[in-house]
Amino acid sequence: MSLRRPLALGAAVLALAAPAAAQDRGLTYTLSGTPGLIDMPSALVAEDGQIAGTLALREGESRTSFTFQITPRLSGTFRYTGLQDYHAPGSYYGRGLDLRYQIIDEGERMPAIAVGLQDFLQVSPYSGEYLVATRTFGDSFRLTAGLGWGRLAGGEAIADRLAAHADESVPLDTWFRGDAAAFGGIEWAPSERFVIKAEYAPGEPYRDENGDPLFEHRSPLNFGINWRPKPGYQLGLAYLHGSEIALSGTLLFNPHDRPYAMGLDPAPVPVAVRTADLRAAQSWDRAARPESAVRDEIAAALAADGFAAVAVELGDRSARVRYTNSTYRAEAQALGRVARILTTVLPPSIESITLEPMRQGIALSAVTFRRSDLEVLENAPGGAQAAFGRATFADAGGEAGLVALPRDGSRFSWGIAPYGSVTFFRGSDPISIDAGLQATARYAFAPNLVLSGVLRYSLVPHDLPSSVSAGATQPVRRLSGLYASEGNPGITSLQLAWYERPGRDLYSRVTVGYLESMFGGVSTELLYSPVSTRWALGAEVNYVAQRANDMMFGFGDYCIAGGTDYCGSADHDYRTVTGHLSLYYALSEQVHAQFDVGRYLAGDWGASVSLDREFGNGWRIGGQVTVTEANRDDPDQDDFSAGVRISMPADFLYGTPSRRRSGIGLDLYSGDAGARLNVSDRLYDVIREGQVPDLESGWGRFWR
Amino acid sequence: MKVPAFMALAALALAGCSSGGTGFSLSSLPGAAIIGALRGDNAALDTPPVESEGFTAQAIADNPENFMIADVPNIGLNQPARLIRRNGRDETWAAQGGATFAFHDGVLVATRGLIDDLLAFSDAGVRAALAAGGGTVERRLDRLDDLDRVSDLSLTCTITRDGPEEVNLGLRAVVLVKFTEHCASRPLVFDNAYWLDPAGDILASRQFVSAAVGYARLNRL
Repeated sequence: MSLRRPLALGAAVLALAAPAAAQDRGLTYTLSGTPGLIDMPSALVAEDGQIAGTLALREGESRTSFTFQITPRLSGTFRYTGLQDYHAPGSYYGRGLDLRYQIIDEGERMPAIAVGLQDFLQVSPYSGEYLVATRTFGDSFRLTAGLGWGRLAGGEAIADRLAAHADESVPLDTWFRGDAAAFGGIEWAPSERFVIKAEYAPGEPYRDENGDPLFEHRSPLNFGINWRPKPGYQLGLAYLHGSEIALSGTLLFNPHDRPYAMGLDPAPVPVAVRTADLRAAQSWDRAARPESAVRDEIAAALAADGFAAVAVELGDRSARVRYTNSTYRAEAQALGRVARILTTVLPPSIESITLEPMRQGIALSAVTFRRSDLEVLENAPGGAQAAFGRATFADAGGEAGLVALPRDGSRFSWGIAPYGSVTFFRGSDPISIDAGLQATARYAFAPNLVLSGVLRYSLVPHDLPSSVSAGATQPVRRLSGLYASEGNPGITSLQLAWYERPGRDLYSRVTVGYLESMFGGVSTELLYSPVSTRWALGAEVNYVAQRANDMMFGFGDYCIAGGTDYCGSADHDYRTVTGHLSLYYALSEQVHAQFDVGRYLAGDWGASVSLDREFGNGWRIGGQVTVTEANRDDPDQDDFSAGVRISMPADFLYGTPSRRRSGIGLDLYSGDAGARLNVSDRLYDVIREGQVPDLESGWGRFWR
Repeated sequence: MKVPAFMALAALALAGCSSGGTGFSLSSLPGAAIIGALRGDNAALDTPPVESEGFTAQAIADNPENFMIADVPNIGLNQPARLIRRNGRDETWAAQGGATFAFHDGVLVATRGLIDDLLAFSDAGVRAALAAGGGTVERRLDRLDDLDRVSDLSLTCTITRDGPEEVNLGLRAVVLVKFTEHCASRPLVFDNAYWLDPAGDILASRQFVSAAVGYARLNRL
């Protein structure tokens, strides 16, 4: 039986996972990429954290959806749709966002009940709202019934809404308003791999902007079958409205499902436990074991595990070691490994070990352990929590007393790697895919003063856009298609970055050069971030000029390409001051927020809010919304800009320790309003991993 | 291990070559290298670390008591391991590939370098129960969950004496007394086995590591 997936049990070893909730079982996805029937939603929710990518096609329509189960009850869906002949003879390409909240979980007698908003930030052919209930009977039948508004009430209802509210954004006054209609359906799972569905979808199918049907509508009944050949994959075939065939495919992934369990990390050096006599020593014999020899041993031992010892201070009873971790994602794991190594090389009289992790050449914090704690907690149940509780956390100390160690490796490094990117709505292209080779080079004058550059060569030809949308706002991002076409090969960045610690809990950055593909200049930043607080305050001021669209060394010359001036009356030699005040706040161990207010790249004043769910294993999934005066004043700009982003740690993918990441960002609504300078390595992201909130969330790996 | 297909895109984005040569290698296990780097006469250590190149027939023949065979069939590990740390009744043994096994008085209390490690496992009362010919003890097991949080589990373990058995330790066959430890706590159930010599030392054992790794068979030479 398939709707209730059996819990796999081993003969001798039972799985450590909790039994799956009832609604997790036999879940299939709609053409819109949400859990449900065929075109209609259900009240079921996916497993917490699950990401589902769905591509659905039928003649004249495509839907690409990404659904993220944000919390156990709340999910969000980003959808990109194409609808032929909507603007006869033109097509509709739209981005939309859904939210769904499960009010009641399915119980012994009660059905699951959910409320949902579909494409709710605008009025589009897909906008709608619903209240829906779902109940599973036995192991193989499931019934869903709901009430829908807007699109879910049929073509006439959404046509009326479009006619009355077409230009509204965040159309609160349309939600759950207008004609409503019932919908519903049944699912039957004859085997583990198949789910057969039938649904009643009210009204006519989709209409064009004039209210005329886009598809032939012979029946309100839809029929479909989903095939689940393996966990993580679903394929669907549906017969819609008595006239249409639709195909869909869904890929499922959950950041909780680690392909390499705890990872392929090599075993750490075990703690060396001192005898009682040695532990009682108050000093050590520097004649027999000079400090220089101890420092050399520290450097060699740390290097063997992927750490670079930067500086060491040795006393009779205490030691302070600055190091750079370029191997392990979780700084807490690096602390644990470095501490263990030090127990094997430090003179036995040293009881207090202070570690100062460094990034970009600056110290992030000072974490002090008692060596005797390390000696008893390494293999003790509860040892990780106890080590955290007994450690002290403070701002990194000064330079006094530290002896710098010889730098490890060359000052110069380089690399060549493939790159890929997907851009939505660049000019008139709904989707623009880019791929090619990327060369990087880096020269460190000092650990905190680094010259770096990136040169890209695209293997995908990019034609000049036929036109660029007009607007009163300076075209700071609207011309990105010109850069893609004219700037190949192109220098995406060439900059000198300088990081410093100007005072207690203060961090600073100055970056000069070609800061990103479209702008160059000077970027300055100051961050106040006490080590143990959940918040930080930042200020950033940049003076930038728009680069030439050949992405080489010039400024200006970004408007004209192929003999066409794409800027119109806009400034042809744009220079501006842009900057923000930022508040960073860890709302919980897994939810991080950022609030920015300031002057954006086009000179527009406004504010941004970002929320990210950050999984302890390194995954980050979030989004941001920005509203500026240009959104309000320029009718050619969206009423706000918004985007979602996913960042995946490389150690999750490969299993081996790594600090690298791969990410993707999807702009739902974007333009020149609310655009920000894309300068790399902003301070908060650089320093946060060495501070208490991040250390605490990764502390489970301290003894790994 | 299976990786979802779409993650191949991310793999492509992370691929490449560089001057650092810090690519990903499933076989790079520097544990032994670290130990090698730490060689030397360090007064801080009550037992100096064993040299990394010490897995030779001569080394084993000279000091067989410092070696064991570690067999973890679920992950294909079957290697000699040697004693690298001793502090009283606490011992840490390193397999030739770098994985380590930590024991308290012969009872496995932690592993490192296996894909799904035993983070920590209390052994309180186990030796007393073995000495008494059986008994029931409460043990606590720590592991990392899928979000890198430490989750703990309390288990009730019942130890029973099964009687003498002949056991092949690799270099010799001896008659030892077998004890079985049945540990259970929803949703985890497993059975450890210990083979003790007349002095009460655990010379061979089969001990639980984790759900993914299963059991480790550990035979002293």
